[in-house]
Parts: sequence; C-alpha cells; structure tokens
Amino acid sequence: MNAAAGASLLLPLLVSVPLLGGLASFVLGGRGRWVAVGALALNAILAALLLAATRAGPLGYALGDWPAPLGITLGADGMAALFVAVSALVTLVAGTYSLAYFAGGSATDRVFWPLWCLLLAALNTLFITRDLFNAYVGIEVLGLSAIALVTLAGDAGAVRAALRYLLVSLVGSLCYLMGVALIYRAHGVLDVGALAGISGATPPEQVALALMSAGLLLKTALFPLHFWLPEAHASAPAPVSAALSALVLKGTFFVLLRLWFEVLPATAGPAAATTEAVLGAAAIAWGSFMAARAPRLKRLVAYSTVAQIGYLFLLFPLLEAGPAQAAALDAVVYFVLAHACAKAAMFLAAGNVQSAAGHDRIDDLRGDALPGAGTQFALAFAGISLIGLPPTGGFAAKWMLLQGAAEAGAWWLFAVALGGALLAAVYVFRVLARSFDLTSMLAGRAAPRLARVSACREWSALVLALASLALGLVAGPLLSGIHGAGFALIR
Amino acid sequence: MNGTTIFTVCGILLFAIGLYGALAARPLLRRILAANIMGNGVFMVLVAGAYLPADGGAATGDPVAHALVLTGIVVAVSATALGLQLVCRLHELASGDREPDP
Amino acid sequence: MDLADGNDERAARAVRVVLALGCGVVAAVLGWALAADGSSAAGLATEVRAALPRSGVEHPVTAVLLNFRAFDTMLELAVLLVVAIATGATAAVGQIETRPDEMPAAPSSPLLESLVHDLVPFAILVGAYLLWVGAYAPGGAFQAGAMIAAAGVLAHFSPRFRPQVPDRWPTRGILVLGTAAFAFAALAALALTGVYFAYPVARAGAWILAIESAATASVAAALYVTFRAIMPADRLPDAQR
Repeated sequence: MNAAAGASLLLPLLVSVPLLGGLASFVLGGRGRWVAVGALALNAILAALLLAATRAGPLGYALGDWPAPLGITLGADGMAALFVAVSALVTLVAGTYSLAYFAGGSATDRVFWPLWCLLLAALNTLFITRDLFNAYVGIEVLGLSAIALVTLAGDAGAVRAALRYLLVSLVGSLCYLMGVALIYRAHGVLDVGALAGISGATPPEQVALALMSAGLLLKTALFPLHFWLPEAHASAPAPVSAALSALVLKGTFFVLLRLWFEVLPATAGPAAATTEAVLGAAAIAWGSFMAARAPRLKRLVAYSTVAQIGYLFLLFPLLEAGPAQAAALDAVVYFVLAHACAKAAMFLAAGNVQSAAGHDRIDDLRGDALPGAGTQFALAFAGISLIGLPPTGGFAAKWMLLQGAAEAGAWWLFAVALGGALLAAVYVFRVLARSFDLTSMLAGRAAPRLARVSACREWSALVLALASLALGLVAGPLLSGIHGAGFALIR
Repeated sequence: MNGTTIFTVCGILLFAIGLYGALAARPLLRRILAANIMGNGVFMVLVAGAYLPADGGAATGDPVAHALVLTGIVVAVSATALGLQLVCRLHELASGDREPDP
Repeated sequence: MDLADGNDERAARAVRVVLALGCGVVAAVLGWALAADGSSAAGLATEVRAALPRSGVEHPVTAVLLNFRAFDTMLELAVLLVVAIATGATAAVGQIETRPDEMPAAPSSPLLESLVHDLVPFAILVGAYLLWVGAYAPGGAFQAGAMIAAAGVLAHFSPRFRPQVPDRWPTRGILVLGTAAFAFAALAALALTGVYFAYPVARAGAWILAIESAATASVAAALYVTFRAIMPADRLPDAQR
C-alpha cells in the first residue's frame, strides 16, 4: 500500500518537474538552458519509474485530496506510462540536440528552453489527466507553446505557418470545449472515470463526440484536416519539428482515444470507427504521394507524418469490441512509440543536412554533402522504421496491425497497411538513394563546402534512430507487462 | 422561454457565426476576432447551463461552470494576444512596417 | 483576365455559401442536442457547497478555482506565461527594429497626463480591493490582475508615466510568480499534509490569499507585457496632429 501510494506521487511530480524547470530557466535567462536540461533528465527518470510502477496496475492520484468529481484526479495505466516515457526520451534527446543547435545565451535560446519545458509539462498533463476540462487547458498549453516554438525560426514563412496553426488550433480547441460544455450540461461531471459509468448514446453525447472529435482530429492532423501541418512542421527549427511530429500530435490523439473508448464508448460505434479508418487510409495515400513529390527534405518528412498518422486511425475499427482488440491496442501504442523515435530522428538528421549544406533540396543532395556518418545512418534507420522493415519498431507495429486485421477478418485494412508500406518505401528510398549516392565523389568532383555540424547533433539523431531500431527488439517484454496490469481501455 | 433557453440559443448562434468567420473570412484579424466570438458562444452555453432556479431557497449558480468559464476567458485572451502579435510580426517581416490590418 | 477573376470570385463565393450552410447545420444540431437534455443534471453545486467550509474561503467560485481545481488554474497561468514569454521576447528574436524603452520626445496632451496621474493609482487601489474581496464575493486574482493591467495600459499612453520593462530577472520573476506560487504551494502542501495541493485546512484562507496576490502580479505583468509587444512605442496619441 505504501509503495503504491509512493508510486502514485510520480503523477503530480511528472507535471511539476518540467513546469518548475521551465519557470526557472526563464528567470535565469542565459544560464537557464542547463536548468532546463536538468529538468528534462529528471523527468526522464520519473518516467522510467512510472513505467516500472504501472506494471503492477494502474495508478491514481486525487489532487488536493478532493475526490472526483469535485476535484481533479490524475491516473496512469501502462499505455499512458509508455507515452510519458517516449515523450521524456524524445524531449531529452532533442533537447541535447538543441544545446548545439541554438547559440547559448542568444534571444532565441532564452525563449526556447522555457517553452520546451512547458511543452513537456503539457504533454505529461494530457497523458495522465482524468478530467475533461483539465485536458482542454493542457491542450491549450501544448498548442500555444508549440506555436510559439515554430516562430523561433524567425522568417516570414514560419510566422505565416504559425498563424495558420494558431487559427486551426483555436477553432479545434473551441469545438472541443463546446463538446465538454454539452457533456457537463448533460451529466454534471467532468471526470473520465465517473463519465465512463454513466454515459450512453443520447443526442447531447452524440453531438459532443462529433464536435470534440472534429476539434481533436483537426489538431492531430488527420486527412483532410491536415492542411496546416506541412508548412508548420517544415518551417520550424529542426528540434521543434521533431517534437511537433513526434509528440504534440500524439498528445491530442491520446485524448481522442480516451474519449472514444473510455468516456463515450456507446456513442462511438462501428460506423464512426470505419469512417476514421477510411480517412486514415486516405491520409496514408495522400501523405505518401505528396512526400514522394516534395522538393525539400523537411517538407517530405512533414508529409510522411501526415501518412503515418493515418495508420493510427486505421486501427479504430479493430479497437471496437471484438477479437482483435488487444492486438489493435498493442499496435496503436507501438505505432506511436516507433513513429515518435523514427520521425524525431529524421527531423534532427534533416536539420543536420540543412545546416551543413545550407539548403535541403533533395535533388541537390549527394552522398558527400552529408555532414557525417551519424546523420546518414540516422536517416537510414529512421527511414527503415517508417517503411516497417524488420527489426525496427515500425515493423513490430505493422506486424501487430496485420495480425489484428487478419484476426478480425478486415482484409481491406490488411491491404491498406501493406500498400502503405510500399508507398513509404518510395519516398524513403528517394532520400536514401541520394544520401548513399557517391558517384560524384567517385568521379572526382570536388566535395561541396559544408558547414561544420557538431558531433552532439549527429549523435542525438543517431540515438533516436537506434531507439526506433531497439523498439523492434523489445516489443514483447515492453507490451507484455501492460496487459497483465489492466489497460483501462479494455472493458 | 426562460433565461436559460435564451442564453443557450444566443451561445449557439455566436458559436456558429464565429465558426463561419474563422473559416471563411480573409483578413487575418477578422478570423482571430471570429474565433473570439466562437469562444464567447461556448462560454455563454456553459454559463446558461449553470443557472439553478431553486436549490434550497437561494438561487445560486453552479460554481464549477463559472470557474470553467473564467479559465476559458483567460485562455482565449492569451491565444488572441499571441495571434495579434503574430499578425503584427508578419506585417513587419513582410513589408517592413507595422500597419494594422484593413 | 477579367473572366478568370470572375470565376475566382464565383468559386470563392460558392465556398463561402457552403461554409455558411455548414455552420447553420452545426447550429441546428447543437440546438437539437441542447434541447434534448430536459432533465439536466444539477452540476457539482451540492458537492461544492458541502466542501466549502473546508476550503478556506467563503465564495464558492474562488474555492473551486483556487482549491478544488487549483491544478487547472495553475495550468491556466502557464498559458498566460507561455504567451508572455513568446510575445515579450519575440521582438528581439526576429531581429525586428523596435525601441521599447526609448521614450520619444513627442508632446502629449496635459489632459491625458492629468487623467493618468489621477486614474492610475485609483485603478490600482480598485484592483487590490478586487483581490481581497475575492474570498467573500465575486473577485479574485484574475479580475484584479486585469484591472491593474488596464492601469498599466492607461499609463502607457503618457510618456511621463509609462512603465519601464527592463529585460532583467526581476521582471521575468514577476511574470513567473503566479505559476511558481501555485507550484510551490502544491509542493509545500505535499510536505505539510502529505497530499499534493491539499492546503492545511486551518490556514487555507491565508495560503489562498498569498497565491492570489502572486497571481495578480503575474496576470497584470503578463497582460501588460503582451500589450506592449503589440503596441509600437513610437506611435502615440499626438495632441498636435
């Protein structure tokens, strides 16, 4: 009992530590970056402890000792713990990358670190909150800090992309809030656990689900509501793009999952789930097509995100009660983990390429124009994970998806997943072929003059790419502990 | 047609009008203001539902709904402020001069 | 050329009509949903009233904001802080030429000067009252902060009384004070009562007042800094124009 009480203390600490780190780094100004990195490291330790603690069962914490529904409760099951862990990993490694990316003490640097820490605090809040309105405030902190981080690139294109992102974010949040208003007026409680017991399929709930889903899908960039993403993710500084694609989208996705399968399961029927899957398939097709045509590397990676988000929604019909529910849940979790590591690695590597060559036009990319072997291998491993080749995490996720689709007899999902892998291969190999192309060097042509990219940046990209590789090897042990502990989604 | 219904209907109308403005208007400033109006609509719907006619004699409102709206107002103001600042910055970067939106 | 423009215009208008119809459908659907909840639940009013004596204040909304759902309020202050960080500093980040602390030697109206001289202290006093009365009646940190920020905005227009906002750690400290007060109070409560954010019941009122004071300063500072970032310093009301 004491151990469990101690472990559940991790939940409020997971929000306090990044929050206080952000506050301290803002006040300290020039030296704030070290406090921020310290907070990121401490957060990673807390996340690892949470992962270990949730193996025994879900954790809960009533803030202020006020019982729900009066107060706000925090809670984490195995799935939430994994999401918290991957956020901790990506923000820490991309944070290390940022130490070398931004000049220490510059105005950009002094704004970056507090926003980065507050972004992490918001992510952790979204993963562990059990209150619908608290999720709204978390979504706002997440969105506004992400938008502010996008503008750090400084040019007009970034500001324009950030403005579009802001408008989209505002409209989405307000649709979500209207849904919360409907639910509160219908049931009088905001707590996820309390609502799970009393929700049905009445008109207010149906409209609330539709509105909240519309808002959250807008923020998670599912086709056709993805239009704001490519500009925003491509114009942002490299570590910010990594966090945006890898983590920010998954925060709102997690809220959507809880909403569909825990808060309003009766309302979210098979028809709605199939609609999501169809949109997911369209996202995979469209995103891959645009990625194959993209002239610049960061734009290609951004469109790849549009495609990969589609896989998450492809799994929705399988998550409805049925024989494949457990496998589908595993697949969702693993897609998120693998995509986070691989996409972040790709964006960091793309940032290295852009800094070294001064541009990121794919057609002008050559084997000897890469800053180093670290970047090259990061691109390669991350790309392989995105396609879904063994032994990467992406392969494990796709394997579980295919297994689930076969179990449930949803052969069209099976076909879409395989087709998606082929399409991903098209755009990934487009980049890899260029990056491994040494013909001009062999022909004796002079190497282009490259700016120096620090080893820290190369290593950061490589570490995340290796993580996506390692995820494929530890899939069994990582997921087995979750099912024994009781996923809250499976009723 | 009591007070709750009137305010609820007004809130819904504001939400719809704001949504249209945020999606369809072209000047950026107008879209930001439309999003504000959308927000006001949501708050009105929340507060309209907070009125409790007779609960032990005194007519009090549901305090949690009021607190939610207060929080929402601060969040909306913050988002609007960021939007306005970005519009100013865009104009400065694009034309080298701070001009308000027409 | 004209034909192409005409077609574009027609296409744009068609899109707008479709959007307008869509929003009309949204309104109708919302109306249907809200009309259907005949027996709406009473909300959490009874729970709040039951727990009010233990919260440390007498006004239920303040109790909800500062005690029962303090976590929400802390994050809400974080939202304001994010925007203050992003806007207050971005002038330097984008390398846009601004002169925030330079006071132009523009003449200003004596009427404005005397108005500022008389109104601003009064506004600050009203703000302080709003902060204190929040425990018993509608009021509290946000209302007080907004009032004081309004005083700051008023003072901004008079070159003699314009607040100085140097980019040094005291200024940044005030911006951070509200969120930090919540975070530290939560941790102090953890140390004293064993539960995060559970203020000691006997002194809860004092704790809440302290947190609210810090929050007032933060809200006022954040709103003013954000206003200042949008307001160019060289464009002032010029009485001679």
